[in-house]
Amino acid sequence: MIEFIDVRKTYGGEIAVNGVSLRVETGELCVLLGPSGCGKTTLLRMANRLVEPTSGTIMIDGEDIMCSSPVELRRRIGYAIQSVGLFPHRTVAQNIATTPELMGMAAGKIAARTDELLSMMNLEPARYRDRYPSQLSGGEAQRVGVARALAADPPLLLMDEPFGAIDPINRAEIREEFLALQRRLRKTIIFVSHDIPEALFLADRIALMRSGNIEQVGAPPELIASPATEFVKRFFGGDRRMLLLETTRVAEMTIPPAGPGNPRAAIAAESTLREALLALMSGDGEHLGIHDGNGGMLGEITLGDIQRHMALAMRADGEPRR
Amino acid sequence: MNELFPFFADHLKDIGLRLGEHVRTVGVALLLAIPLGMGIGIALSRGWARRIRGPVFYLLGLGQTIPSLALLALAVGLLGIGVVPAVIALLLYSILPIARNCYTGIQSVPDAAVDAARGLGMTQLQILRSVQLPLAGAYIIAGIRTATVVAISAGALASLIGAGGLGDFIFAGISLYRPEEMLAGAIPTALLALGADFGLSLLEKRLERWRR
Ligand SMILES: Nc1ncnc2c1ncn2[C@@H]1O[C@H](COP(=O)(O)OP(=O)(O)OP(=O)(O)O)[C@@H](O)[C@H]1O
Ligand SMILES: [Mg+2]
Repeated sequence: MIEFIDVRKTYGGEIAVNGVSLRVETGELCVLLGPSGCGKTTLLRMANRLVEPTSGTIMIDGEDIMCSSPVELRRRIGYAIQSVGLFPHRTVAQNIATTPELMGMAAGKIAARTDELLSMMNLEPARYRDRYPSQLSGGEAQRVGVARALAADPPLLLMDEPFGAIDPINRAEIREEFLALQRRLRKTIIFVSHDIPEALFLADRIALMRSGNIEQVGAPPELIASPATEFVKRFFGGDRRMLLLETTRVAEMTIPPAGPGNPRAAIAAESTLREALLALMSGDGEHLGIHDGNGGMLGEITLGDIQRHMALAMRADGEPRR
Repeated sequence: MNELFPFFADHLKDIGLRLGEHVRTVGVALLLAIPLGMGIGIALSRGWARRIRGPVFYLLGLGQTIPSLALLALAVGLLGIGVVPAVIALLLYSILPIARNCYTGIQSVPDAAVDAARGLGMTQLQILRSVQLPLAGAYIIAGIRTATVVAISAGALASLIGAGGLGDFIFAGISLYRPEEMLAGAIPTALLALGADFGLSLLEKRLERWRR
């Protein structure tokens, strides 16, 4: 668990982060989202003391980070920097091994760990481990940067736009793999992004920032359906109903129990409302079964159930609360 | 000119001796100049040295601007004749290229790499040792290469202040008007400089392997 308490950072007279309070629970992936220059990187870098706050407190698992030396603190926290920053004179494997080596892990163990991480990042170890960073594409380099951040298996990860340089096709794919990975590893992650679909897809909660302040914190459907400010409402732009369909999972709806007779089609409760909607429209039945992914039936829904859920969620057409 | 080979053959042992002296004077000067120059380069690359960077390079630059002969004369004035003043004069002469290249090399290291190193939990010393110096390696060797070539050539002048070396042949040859003797000094000096230059250029390339 990491907690920012009224954290401020000013450069000369310029305010970069303006008294932010935010609590990220253990195992949670919190996305810092917002336009360029709003203070995302600055906020992130205060967590491992690469930037010292002007005022305020940051606690990790209840302990003030000022109580640890910066070097010791940083070895406990994984960090993928915005500009990747691989060491050009070290091979991919040597780059990934950086923190484990600093922590004195045995060479054999490091080699095994390196290969494991490369496979995890979808980079075939035999092909990539001995390459130099100049022999990688931008996207490959970023994945190595993420592997390097994960290398010492830290419970807390700071990731600054780790997939920024990856092309849209691979990006969607790596995003899905990363989410699957996170579901397995359950790290505490602060993830900086300025890509709305990415944030909506990955985040347990989003902290939407504007010029040094957090405008609103909440789960993706919450920010879309009930924006706290005009800025939040406009930030997601476009058709917010569509975004809501894409970010809400069927599990979040009230699912009526299955009636008599088996529905013809069924989908997992983990699916989005959009997927449920498509299934309902393409199937010939009026009902869509919902299963828990392990063969158990949870109930069945109709088009009307989705409509009702949407209407409730978008109450008052999502006018900003303040 | 055809007296060259007989002269070489007759004085082989002598040439070897002077070559040894030459290498010794230049070598000692360089062995001192390398750590000193690198130390200065590293120190000037630190944040706290921002203010003194300009003045220090200016002073080192002055050492370079003074003609080597004048520098030797100064050394004699202060320290008398012999090997020691020669070594010191050559040392002053070779520090600048080493210090400047070391500094430039460290500056050339991408900020992102240093930033990542800090973020991964390296200490300042670890960053210097395993990120900045290796990445500056080729620059540093290039500086040492320049310093070596300069010191070998200037080392011929050391003969004038009683430090021996291949300059002995050159100056004796000039004053006695014996071209073959002069060449017996000049040719090995030139070969020495070319050889050192070539050897160090190989090392420089080796340190750049990672640049694809
Ligand atoms: N070292 C610094 N000195 C002065 N100003 C800085 C410094 N670092 C950041 N700033 C300023 O603080 C503000 C926030 O910067 P920050 O890097 O946190 O933005 P960001 O949200 O990460 O933007 P981006 O999405 O472009 O990466 C900016 O206005 C920036 O100019
Ligand atoms: Mg940033």
